[in-house]
Amino acid sequence: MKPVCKEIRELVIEAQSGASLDPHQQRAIQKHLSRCLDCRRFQEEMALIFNELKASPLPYPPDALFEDLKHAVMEAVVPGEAHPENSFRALFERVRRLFPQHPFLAPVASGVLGIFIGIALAVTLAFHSPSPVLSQKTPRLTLSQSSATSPDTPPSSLSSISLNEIEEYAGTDALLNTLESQLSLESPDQWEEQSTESLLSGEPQETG
Amino acid sequence: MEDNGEVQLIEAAQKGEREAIGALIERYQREVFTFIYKMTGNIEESKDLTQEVFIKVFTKISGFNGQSTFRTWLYKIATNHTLNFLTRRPPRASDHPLDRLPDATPSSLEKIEKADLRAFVRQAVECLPERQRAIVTLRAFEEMRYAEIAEILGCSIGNCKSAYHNAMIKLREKVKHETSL
Repeated sequence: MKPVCKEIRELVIEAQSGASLDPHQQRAIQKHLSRCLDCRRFQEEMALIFNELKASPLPYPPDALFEDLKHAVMEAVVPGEAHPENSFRALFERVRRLFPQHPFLAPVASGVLGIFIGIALAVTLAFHSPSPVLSQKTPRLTLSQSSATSPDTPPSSLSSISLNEIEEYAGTDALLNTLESQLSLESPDQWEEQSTESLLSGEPQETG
Repeated sequence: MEDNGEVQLIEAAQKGEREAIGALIERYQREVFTFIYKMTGNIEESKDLTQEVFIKVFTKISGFNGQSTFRTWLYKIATNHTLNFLTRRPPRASDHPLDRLPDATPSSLEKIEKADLRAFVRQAVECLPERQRAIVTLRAFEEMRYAEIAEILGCSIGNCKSAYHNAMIKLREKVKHETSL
């Protein structure tokens, strides 16, 4: 190929790519193509290829895809965007990406991971040690113990506790603190306002 | 240079304002998704990669200093992320261009059916090495200037230009070869 052909072909590619050539370059192309059959053929073929390149079908994904995408990004980068269900979905998505060739493995892996996390949580809670004060001085107040009315014997459930019974136990403050932490309440005041009332009225506790 | 609205959005996003981040995502997510799809040829992968690119963008946005346009900076992250993914991705049978090319023995490009030629061209692009494919996508599809592409890919303008010309010539030869010209 002559050097001039190489230069002209580069200009042809640039022109096809949307570059604006100056008048001198355009005249040079026209002049060369009028007498070089190979370069004219090159120009025609490149025109066909560029037409097809630009006309290549592109996916038109549904708007929902972009909504999901936006929410996922916002959740990851903006503090306070996380929700439990979204976190689980994000976990699932991350697991799914680990198995790009086997998408069916993702639900299985997510399930196994979920069970593992559940077992780990259960084991952690089961072996959670009580406070020394409670273990030494007072009967432990647990939901599984049998019902009793004596101050030495704890009642069977929170709903059966009366305020007097609670006050009769030694280390009541420690007991309340432990209950508060186990029920995930924000402060002792809140616990007293909300939980004591429900204990006295016999309503079930909400731990969330 | 970005328009004023975009500059303000970027500054607000750098402060972590969620509305600004949401607006920037909405403004660019389709464009980035389409670019990544042209590189990968797979919708699911493109969706995941687009998400990862935007997370990376807004994690790093405090480091954006306005030396290039936001769009160029965004494409730089998108291109590098996609190239990293493509170099790690194992080849899949369904992705192999020759597996999906229609049988054709026409005597010239002009005689090939339009749809077939489109498939040949598309698959020929996918046959290009990842970096050349990125240059072709950025130049031929996105019509970016060589200076922008050079910044995105971290190479010189001259290298970029010659790589693009080589890629287009290779593309033509590949299409001609596959169509038995």
